[in-house]
Amino acid sequence: MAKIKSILSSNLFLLTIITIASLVLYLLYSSTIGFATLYYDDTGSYFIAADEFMHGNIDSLRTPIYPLLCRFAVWLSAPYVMRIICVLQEICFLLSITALYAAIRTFKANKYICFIATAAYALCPILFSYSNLIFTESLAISSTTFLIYSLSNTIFGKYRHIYGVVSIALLLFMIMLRPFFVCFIPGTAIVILYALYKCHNKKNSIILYTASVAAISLLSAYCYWYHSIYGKFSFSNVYELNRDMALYKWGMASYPNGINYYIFHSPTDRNGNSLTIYEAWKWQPSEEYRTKCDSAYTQNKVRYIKNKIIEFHKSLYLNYSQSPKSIAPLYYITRLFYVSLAQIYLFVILFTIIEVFNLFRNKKNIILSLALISFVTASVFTSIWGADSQYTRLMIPMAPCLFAMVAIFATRFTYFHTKSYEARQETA
Amino acid sequence: MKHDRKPHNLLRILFYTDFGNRFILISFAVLIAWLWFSFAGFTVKWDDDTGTYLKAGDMIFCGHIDRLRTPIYPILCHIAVSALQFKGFYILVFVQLTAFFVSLFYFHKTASTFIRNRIWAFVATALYAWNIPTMEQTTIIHTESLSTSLTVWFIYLTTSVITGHGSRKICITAPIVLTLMILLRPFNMYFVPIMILAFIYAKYHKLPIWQKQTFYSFFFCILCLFSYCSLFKASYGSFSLSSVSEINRAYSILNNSAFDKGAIYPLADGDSIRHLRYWDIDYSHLSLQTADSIYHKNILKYATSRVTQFDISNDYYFPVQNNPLVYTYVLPIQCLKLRQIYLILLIIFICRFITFLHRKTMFAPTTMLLLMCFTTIFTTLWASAGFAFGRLMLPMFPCLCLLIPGVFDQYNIKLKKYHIIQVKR
Repeated sequence: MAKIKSILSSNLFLLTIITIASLVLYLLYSSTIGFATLYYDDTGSYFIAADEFMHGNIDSLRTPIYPLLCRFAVWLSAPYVMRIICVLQEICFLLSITALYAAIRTFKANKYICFIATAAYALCPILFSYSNLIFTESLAISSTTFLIYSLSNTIFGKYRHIYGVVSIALLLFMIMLRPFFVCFIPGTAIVILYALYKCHNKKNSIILYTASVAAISLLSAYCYWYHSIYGKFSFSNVYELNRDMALYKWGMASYPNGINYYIFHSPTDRNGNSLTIYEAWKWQPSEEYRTKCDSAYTQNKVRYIKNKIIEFHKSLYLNYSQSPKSIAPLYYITRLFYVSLAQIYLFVILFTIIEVFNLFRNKKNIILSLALISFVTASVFTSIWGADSQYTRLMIPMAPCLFAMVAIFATRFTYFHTKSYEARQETA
Repeated sequence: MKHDRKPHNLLRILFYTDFGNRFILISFAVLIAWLWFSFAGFTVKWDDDTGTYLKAGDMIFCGHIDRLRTPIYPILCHIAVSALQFKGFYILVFVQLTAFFVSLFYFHKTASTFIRNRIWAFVATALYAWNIPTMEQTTIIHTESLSTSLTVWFIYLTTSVITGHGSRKICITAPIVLTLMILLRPFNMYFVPIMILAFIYAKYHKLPIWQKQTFYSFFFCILCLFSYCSLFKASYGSFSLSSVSEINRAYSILNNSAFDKGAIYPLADGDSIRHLRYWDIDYSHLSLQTADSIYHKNILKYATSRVTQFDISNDYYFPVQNNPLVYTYVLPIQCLKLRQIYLILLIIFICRFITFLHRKTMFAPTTMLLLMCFTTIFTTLWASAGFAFGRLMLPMFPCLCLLIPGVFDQYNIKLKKYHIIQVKR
């Protein structure tokens, strides 16, 4: 009996329960949409990009990881390619639950706080519902969680240098998955610099230095390769596309946007089947169009910035919830996670104040908190500056950071019940 | 030589005394109101209810009771409008704003009574005092703003009774304030059980309640309300304060407003005439009788429909008048969705319940505030027509501002202090 009790209260058992519950909710959600996979015209652009990469070129919009994943899924089985990608994304999400739990444990949080934060992450329909969407968001969420885990072990763990190398490699992977993650470089750099500062072993320092230099070199090499084809030292032109669409939306440019739609036919898989996507697009603006847009942007820069501030303002009212209403448990669970972006921004400000207070008053190590704050603020800025709409979808990679921040925030407080008025009156 | 580390006298008064704290709170509230109205514009707002108060005021001054409105607010409207026509509304808004600022004083007194920690008491009052949506409500010609300020006074009086600070004046005034609140807004009738429970609690714990004087005060107030209801019955056939619940019920059962003739109340505004549209009920309309009959035959179905109301209410912002929010920087931060408020109340209730089971302590002020919140939510969902949740639940706002910091104080939630261990090398 004692053994059963100890198993039931063990961390591994509870973590397993949470993971299974997450999977059950995911299947419940999938059943509401008939186990369909959701994809839009952006999905086709990844398959077109995969073709470019397989021919030894760089795509102008997409970085290689997700297109190559799509190509790999096509090679496995063309008719079921979307299903394969969904399953892979969901597996990554389920693994990330354990990663988040382990990350929160590293800063010595109370057991209950760890499980509540992990359960909230695992059971949040807004997060696992992205597994059914053939976009980069799902892998972005999972990889952010893995990054938080490796960064927390870089700061608090035993093998700092190894986790440091893993963090660098992971960030490189994330940037190649989604250029958006360039905004995570400052936060990761803070942690790596701290690890180097704390590293007393020369050999470990050399390993970290080498890894950092290698990552920077690889990124630079990619950018140089991109520059040799498209004339711009960058990872992708997606910012330019979004900028031009914003200019058009605000009446500062009135030119055709250069998006061309194609019917995409994939190569055949191992069984001779192929995939057809009817609305794949590619951005192929003319030189004249690009020159006109660049000059429109330069002439209207102040107005552009003003409109972006208004967009930030509008984002205050947005929220992350997006799941459908058809199954009652999921609908009410989704509503629990309804938080507006304004409330998130307020929480981040409060969190920053508390952490700075802890740094100066209590001399606490807040490097991880600083990294998380940097990730969140950079995500907000990059989404609003770099896109023209759908900010909540673009900001979704910062969601695991928010769960970790809530856990850290909870560990900063102490609480116990005080005497009530009745008890005080009796003693008086 | 030791340096004198005592803060300067003025700073000590401002931050460490109740007077100083209240001075800061009220000054900042005035400053925020001034800044807000300078930017957003200070204009009187009205809705479809405003005309009904004016019409009721006319009836009362002709010697009759109005079927829809209890007398206090219509009397105030009539006096203001008789003096200056449309411009008279500015007097009313001034009265509402003044009542709001006076309520800040009583709010802080209440917070200081049951919240030990000075900082949490300050935070509780700041949440109420510096809330722009609540200030905005004072510029609207409806009962909610005045009712909220009176609710603060009511909370102060009842909290004083249950914490043993009830003087004779407080015990006599409490029932009178509640009566005024009921005659201002019949909705406040649902606070009567709370007041009775407060006095019973005080008596059980042998706290001073000046039994004889309190009893006479209760008796006088019941007599007033009874007389009003009797007059209402003589005029309109039902022993009640108002027919507003009947009308709201008809709206929700029938999903149409065929019984609303719609009318215009003209008011002179300088050289022009303002036409205030208001809802004018045809009480002999067949649909009203149909709705009443449906309600009485199938109360269970009506009760089930209230669950749908609860569901709909989740998406409304509080404490604003309508959806969507006014497009500003401030309001998204100062408003919550009702579903978030329900969740907070549920968490507080669970914490209180667990504490009660473990330690057998009730902590009466928190319990009273929770009861007021649940009563407000229930009454709004039961009796409203389903579109003004934020406005109708406004009396809950002061309770929330007291509850949340009160819980923080009660559970002694504070930042951890880490001990820095210095190792001698």
